Amino acid sequence: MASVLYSGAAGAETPARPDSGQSYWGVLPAMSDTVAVPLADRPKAIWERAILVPYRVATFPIALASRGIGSTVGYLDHHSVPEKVGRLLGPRRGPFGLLLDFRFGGLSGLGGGLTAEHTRFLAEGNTLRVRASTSTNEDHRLGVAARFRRPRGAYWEFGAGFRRRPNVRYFGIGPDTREEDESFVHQEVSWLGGAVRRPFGESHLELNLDYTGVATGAPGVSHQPATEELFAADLPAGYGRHSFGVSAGGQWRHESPNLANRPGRGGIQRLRATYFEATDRDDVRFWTFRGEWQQFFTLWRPQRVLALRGVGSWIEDVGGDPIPAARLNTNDDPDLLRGYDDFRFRDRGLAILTAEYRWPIWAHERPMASGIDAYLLTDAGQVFGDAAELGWNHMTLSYGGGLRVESGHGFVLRIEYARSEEASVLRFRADQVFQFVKSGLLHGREPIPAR
Amino acid sequence: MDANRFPPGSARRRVAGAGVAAGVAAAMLLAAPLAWARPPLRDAPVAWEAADRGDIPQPEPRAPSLVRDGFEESVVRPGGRFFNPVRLARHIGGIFGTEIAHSAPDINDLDEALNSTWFTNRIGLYPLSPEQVARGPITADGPDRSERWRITRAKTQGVTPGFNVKDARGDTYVIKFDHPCCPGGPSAAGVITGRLLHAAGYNVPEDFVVTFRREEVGVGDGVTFTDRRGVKRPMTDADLDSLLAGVTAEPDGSYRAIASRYLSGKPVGPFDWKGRRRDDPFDRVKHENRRELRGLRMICAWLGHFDMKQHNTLDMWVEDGSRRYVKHYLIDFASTLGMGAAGPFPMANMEYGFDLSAMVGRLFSLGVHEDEWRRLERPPGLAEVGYFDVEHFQPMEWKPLQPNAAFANLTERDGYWAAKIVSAFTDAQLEAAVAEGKFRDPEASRYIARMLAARRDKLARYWFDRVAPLDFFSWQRGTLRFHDLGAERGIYRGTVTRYRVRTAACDADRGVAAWTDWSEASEPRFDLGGAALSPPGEGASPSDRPFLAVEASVNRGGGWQGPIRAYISRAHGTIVAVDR
Repeated sequence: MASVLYSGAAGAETPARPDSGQSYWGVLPAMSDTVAVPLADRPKAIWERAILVPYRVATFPIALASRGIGSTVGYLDHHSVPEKVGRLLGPRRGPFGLLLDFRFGGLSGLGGGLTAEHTRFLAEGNTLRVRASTSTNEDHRLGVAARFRRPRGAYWEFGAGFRRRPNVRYFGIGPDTREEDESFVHQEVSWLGGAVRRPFGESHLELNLDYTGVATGAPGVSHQPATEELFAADLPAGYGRHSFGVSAGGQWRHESPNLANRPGRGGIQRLRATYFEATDRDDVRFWTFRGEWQQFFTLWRPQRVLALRGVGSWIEDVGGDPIPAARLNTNDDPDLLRGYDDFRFRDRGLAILTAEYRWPIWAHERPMASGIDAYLLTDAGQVFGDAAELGWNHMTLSYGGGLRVESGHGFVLRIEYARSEEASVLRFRADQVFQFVKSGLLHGREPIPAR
Repeated sequence: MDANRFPPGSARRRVAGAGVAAGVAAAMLLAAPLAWARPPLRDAPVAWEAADRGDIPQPEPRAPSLVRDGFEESVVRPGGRFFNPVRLARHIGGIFGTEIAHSAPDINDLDEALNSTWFTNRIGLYPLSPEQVARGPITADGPDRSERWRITRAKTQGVTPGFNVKDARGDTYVIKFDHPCCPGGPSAAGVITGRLLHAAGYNVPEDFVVTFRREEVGVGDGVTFTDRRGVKRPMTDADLDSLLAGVTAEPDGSYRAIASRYLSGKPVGPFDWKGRRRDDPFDRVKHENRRELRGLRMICAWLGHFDMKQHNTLDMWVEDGSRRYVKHYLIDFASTLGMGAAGPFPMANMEYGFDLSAMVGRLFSLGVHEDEWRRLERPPGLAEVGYFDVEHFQPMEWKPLQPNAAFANLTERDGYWAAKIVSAFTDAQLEAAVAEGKFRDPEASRYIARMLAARRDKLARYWFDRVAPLDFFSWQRGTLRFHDLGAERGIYRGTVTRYRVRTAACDADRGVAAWTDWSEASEPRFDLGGAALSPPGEGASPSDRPFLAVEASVNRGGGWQGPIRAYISRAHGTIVAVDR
């Protein structure tokens, strides 16, 4: 029979109380109502009232607002909403789950989306994802993809998607385009594709085959001037038409282990080559070569991390007709020049160097748990039409800083502000430039341009 | 430009700015004397009891939202305090001796907390034996083991699993297991802290460390169980097995847990750290102004009790003879003594869970500054002990997981009061309380007792340096005695101490006639003679000045500290008040 471990003080006399008599102050009266005194708060001094009354009046709206927020939080908590949302968004217990997408700033405006996921699709280890998002600037996106597990860690991916953006910007082609030549086009991208991936240690090989279409035309009335007005004499290639084609490619990717959440060391390397051939009447054929290197270094203290990223992409034209402008390299997710809005530059070549210095400013109880990191960033980069255009005189420079909110299980929210000589851009996104997870079909990769 | 608008720097704005500045300056000037406004002296017995045990109907149970409470205590209320102009004026007035808040109303003329439904004077006023400290609130020797415990409720969510059991006597206990990270730690910390808080004067539940085997527990009728998918259904023996499978068993196959006896009465929810309980007409002092709650900050700092959210408090509607009233408890002490209910973490006790000032500091330091808590280490080889040391312990730097209004209102007098209680614990009492935690490793017991003693001394030293620890004055046949707690409790070892006093006739408003010269001695005992109660001089007659003011100072080699002023009834020779 087990025992109650408590035993040491059994039988000891009960603790002294005031009615037991002798105290450090001498003999105290026994506890009784006759010696009990009623209590009351001390009144506020006149000077306190004189200050507080106008203060309370002036801050009444703030008090009301905070009470309203508090009541809302309380109501949601009472109905277990945070718990239910946390169960949906947090580490998954069942096969179903939801992922939130959120963005503010940039060309999309205020937007958000939802990804529904089933991790036992048809069989254990298979994943199905359906994703939809929209924004105040009518950036609509829809995608569906499935990943099927194969032997030896390999898997197949199939996906299809559509994205409609009424305000894609066009400034002309090349690194010397002028800020005042900003114009807008409406762009619709659709894709259908498949990929086979197989791991080799920390590396992966991927082969993919995609059928893609892109159409450009007049923008919405709220996005002016239209490209067809500003560039009437020199319309971009493929403007006002559909461009369809098949692309086939291969990718090698190496990723160090333990790069989730807040990597402090290791890196990611990618090499990719893709061949595109139009299936419409145009003779458009080109190769896209892309290399990417990301590296994380822990500096003098834990979680003080320098993150570096270099990206180079080049399109080699081998066809008879010009490549549609929409298929050229441009500064868009994840190849951002963060002091510029998306689609500021376009050309066959793209080179970007990015550096972030990150440090922790808050952690939920434990250093590596959910928390907030601050970071300083600088992006240097340019587009180019030939190697001779690569150089400091065409290089753009962005700098700024931001905050990264880490959920502890992969969800990253970032708010950042960056400046360049042209613009200041505030972004609020549920993704990141480094460890950009949306580069696979399963995650809704847009294969135009090939990244 | 529109003439009706006020351009920047206009005369009106300048006048308004000057008005605000003048207001703040006036507030500062007014704040200083007001800080020292005390109630008039009375030649009457000193009160020791608060009249807050009046018969009341059952209050409505409070069920505040945990999330909302976190939001309010971490964001809204600290913001309110930060921008509160009265607090700002008092901060500025601190130069002139103003305290950050009014003095607590629930104290007597001797600056002691009144016995109430919140607090009972114990070790602060009475010499307790180590056995009394160890026994704490215990009235029975834990759950009855003569029959199987019947589970009446299962807790499957949250940080650690647990359940409620009913024993053969019909008593209900909450059984909570240790986190798998650190078996033995949270349960030991919970019991030890409960004993120490009880001895300090607070109402706490009866907690025990228990071990039991699987066959000693059965599932009662009608118990529901929430499974991993969130589905609620009747609990089965298999569910109990799966629940126990998540618990680290002892080497002999038994399970160790903390058993907390249900409090008597009906639970009516936690108490808020701010405001009053509106449905209790005897809860007349705002909680943030209560001495025992303000001073609790220092006691929690000593114990490393960081999880001081209101959900770790409980109001019980209790029956006491013919009266039913609300009694206020502190509960759940697993996150103390460097331990945490979900395992120890270094940030605890060093930073608020959401610490805006620390975050802003880190943001602008660009990561150059390293937080002290990141350098903390647990004592090697002691798996049951968390982050609990004395080197990194700074009483006023200590932070709970959430700030609260009562802790924010701590004044020097409140701090001294708490330090007086903490310093009253002897090493033997601490060792006796720590023994109740039943650490499996005796070295863990010794370490915790050693750290409690060292932190006690550091905390006492902090406050005794600021408020002279001259206390417990008495007057007997012309001899004035008082206690130097700093010397008696070994806080200032190795120093040569001198004391001095002077006296003056005094009226009820503390106005004094001429002071006598200082008398010095090496002991806190002054034979002033019976004539001292009748000082000569104009306006010193007993009818004009019915009290004798005594100022006492202490010098430990660094100059005279204090003075502390005690008032003696000239008619009765009794101490009627003490001013610090």
